[in-house]
Amino acid sequence: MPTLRGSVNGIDSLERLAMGKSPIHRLHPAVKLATTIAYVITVLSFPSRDVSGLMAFIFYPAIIMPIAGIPYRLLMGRLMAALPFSLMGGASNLFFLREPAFVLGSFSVTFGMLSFVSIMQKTLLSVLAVLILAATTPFADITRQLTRLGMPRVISLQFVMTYRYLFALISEAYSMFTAYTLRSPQTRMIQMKDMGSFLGQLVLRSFDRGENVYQAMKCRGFQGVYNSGARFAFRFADAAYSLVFLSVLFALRFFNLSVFLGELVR
Amino acid sequence: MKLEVVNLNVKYDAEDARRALRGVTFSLSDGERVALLGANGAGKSTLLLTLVGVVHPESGEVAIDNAITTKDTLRHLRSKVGMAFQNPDDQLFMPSLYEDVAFGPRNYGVSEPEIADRANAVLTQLGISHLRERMTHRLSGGEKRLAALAGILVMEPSVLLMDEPTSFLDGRSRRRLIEILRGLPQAMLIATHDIALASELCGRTILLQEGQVRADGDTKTILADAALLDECGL
Amino acid sequence: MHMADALLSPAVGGAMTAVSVATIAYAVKRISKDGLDEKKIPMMGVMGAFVFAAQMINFTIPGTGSSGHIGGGVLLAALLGPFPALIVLASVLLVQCLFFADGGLLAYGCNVFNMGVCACLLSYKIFYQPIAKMGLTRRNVLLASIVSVVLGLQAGSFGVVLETYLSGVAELPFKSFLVLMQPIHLAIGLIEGVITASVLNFIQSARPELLSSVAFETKLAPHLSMKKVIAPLLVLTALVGGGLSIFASAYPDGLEWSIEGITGSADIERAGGVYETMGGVIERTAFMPDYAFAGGEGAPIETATAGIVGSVITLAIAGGVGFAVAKIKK
Repeated sequence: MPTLRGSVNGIDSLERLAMGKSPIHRLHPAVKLATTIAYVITVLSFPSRDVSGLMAFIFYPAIIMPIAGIPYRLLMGRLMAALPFSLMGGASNLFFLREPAFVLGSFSVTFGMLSFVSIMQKTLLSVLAVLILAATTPFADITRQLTRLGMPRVISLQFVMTYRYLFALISEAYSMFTAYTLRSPQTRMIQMKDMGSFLGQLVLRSFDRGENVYQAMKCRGFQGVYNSGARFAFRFADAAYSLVFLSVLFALRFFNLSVFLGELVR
Repeated sequence: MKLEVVNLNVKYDAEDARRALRGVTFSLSDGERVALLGANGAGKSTLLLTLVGVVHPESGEVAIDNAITTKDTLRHLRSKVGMAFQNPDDQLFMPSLYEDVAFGPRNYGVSEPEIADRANAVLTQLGISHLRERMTHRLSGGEKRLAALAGILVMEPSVLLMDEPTSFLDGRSRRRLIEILRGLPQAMLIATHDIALASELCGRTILLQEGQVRADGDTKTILADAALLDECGL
Repeated sequence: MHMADALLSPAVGGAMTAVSVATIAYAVKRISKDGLDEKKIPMMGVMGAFVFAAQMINFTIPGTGSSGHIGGGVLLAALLGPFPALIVLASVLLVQCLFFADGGLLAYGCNVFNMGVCACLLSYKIFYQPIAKMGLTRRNVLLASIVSVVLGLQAGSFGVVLETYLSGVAELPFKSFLVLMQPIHLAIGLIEGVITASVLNFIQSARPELLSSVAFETKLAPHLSMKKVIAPLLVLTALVGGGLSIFASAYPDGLEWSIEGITGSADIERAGGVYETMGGVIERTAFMPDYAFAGGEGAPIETATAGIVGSVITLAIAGGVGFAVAKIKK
């Protein structure tokens, strides 16, 4: 089962990346969270026909990815997850929006084509933005920031522990799976009739583990409240970055850089 | 420091009339290292869990420094008695090692700077400060044991309870753990199948058989009594 | 059923985020009130990991040669109770969003609602619990599981269709999309329902005490009825999402509309108005009409070409800058 193994390594390599020391990494998690959300919202707010206006937004990942040291190959897998939906929407637009927007020589560019490109742009940009966030901010920091923004501690602890035990559970599922396939050579996957006991076993083991973890937590003084510890200081760099980022974002939303450059050339 | 256990009776569960522990009585003084031996099911883990308040006895009492343990004083007890569970994975529940070590002190309201000091001291003492930022699930078996131990030592307990600390450890990690334990000042009660560990580290041994204390005394003497050991399933 | 960001409008995404946040907040309050939270937390953490792992386990669907995996909402609710289950699913979805781009950032609220609220809260409460309360026999569990999983998935996929439609990014005809999504999720639901039942029955025979405590949980506080809470939430969702989107479709771009409101200038001169608002810093560009703002009208070919040429230039510059930064970093 490639997914089990692959995903553990995937999460691991991302978290290791997230612990880097680039200027982007050192930004306050709140800043990274806020700018990512603002970016995605702005990108998504473009109407389908505005393809050229959206182009300039590629500057953000183009500049930040190398500064933060994020390899582009990480993008591939993530696009795979996001594309099916987008392709379906885009294809449907190609089909339904046949009205021509403008004509280039003898080729008529329909609104459908424009919106297809626009959807692809939005897909790429939104996936890149989240990738940058995940690759520069450790999951625990994101959770801690959400807690500071008001998310109940019950949930933050839950998040952190789910994340922690992912690996243990996945390894356990994997070894159970291996044992299963070794005894059923005719299939590379679990047969439906066996899913009940397979998952059932996994549930019971998880419950036992949960019990043990709870006891261990009580033994170290746990009283239901999760203290996440150290704070991030908000520095001048954080304020400066936020200001610049949001201004550029706002500017590019209304100022079409591409058309400007195109006009210049002519 | 004195830990006293008097006439402890623990049932398996509400419906089962059999007892997991029967009339267990002993005491532990400062700096004493005691091995807890017994066959599987003799009640070693149950005894440790009772001492730390996870299992509630039917009758009998556990007192530390003359303060009897009740439901209300459990928190106090647990700040003095630290327990290392059989499976360190169940005990390392924070993503990073530092976060996990900090978990205990944070629950007792220790300030962040002091936590940092204590954590660094403990990690250095155990020789794992280079693993400070490591993800807990990425640690090796031996490293996990030490990490779990760090999380307990940082709370500055007077008594250390350990459940099968050398299981799943290779020769080298085992040696390292024994060396470290030898250097710790705390009183220890170590449940183990590792007879060699008992003789190397612990001057005194308590032998359990079917929930009862069969023998309590000098380790060498008890280990030399082959007939007794055989009777107790060892 | 994970929705990505691209087909979502900020209005719908924002509305669903608000709904999901409100529902999660309510769930937390309920958990605290029932007094279960301390022990439940590590359990929830581990079960979150379980769901994550379980969703990766593909099984063969007999007769079709294809494979699938479970969602786990109803199963979680049956094991942990509906409110903890919702929170667990929310955390799984967050991990999937951040680490695998399985589900967009703005779409997170939608996904929590479609996959979490629909299955763990609505479907479980309305369909699973009543049947389960009649007695945890194998037959009841099977019936309850299939019904609640199928209907939960139907509601969820309907949510996907509705949210996509209301966003107006993709011109997917509502009915066609529906006809596509619902039957697929019906099939998936039937299978997951059967699997959920067999897992629950397995647990029932191995450790019956785990299930009965959840199935026969204490009733809701008398002054608070589930329907009373969910119904307004649904209405609110529809109003907010639908209302905002109506605004959006009347004006091609909701953001444009609000800017027009602020600057008070008409469509064609809007470009100038906006730039003046920005303090004239980019004044020399004020005379360039941005064809993209003209709502739906055909744009003059000059600006179109400018747009294309400019886009290429923009990309080239971005690529060059990116390359340069990477080189400098080394």
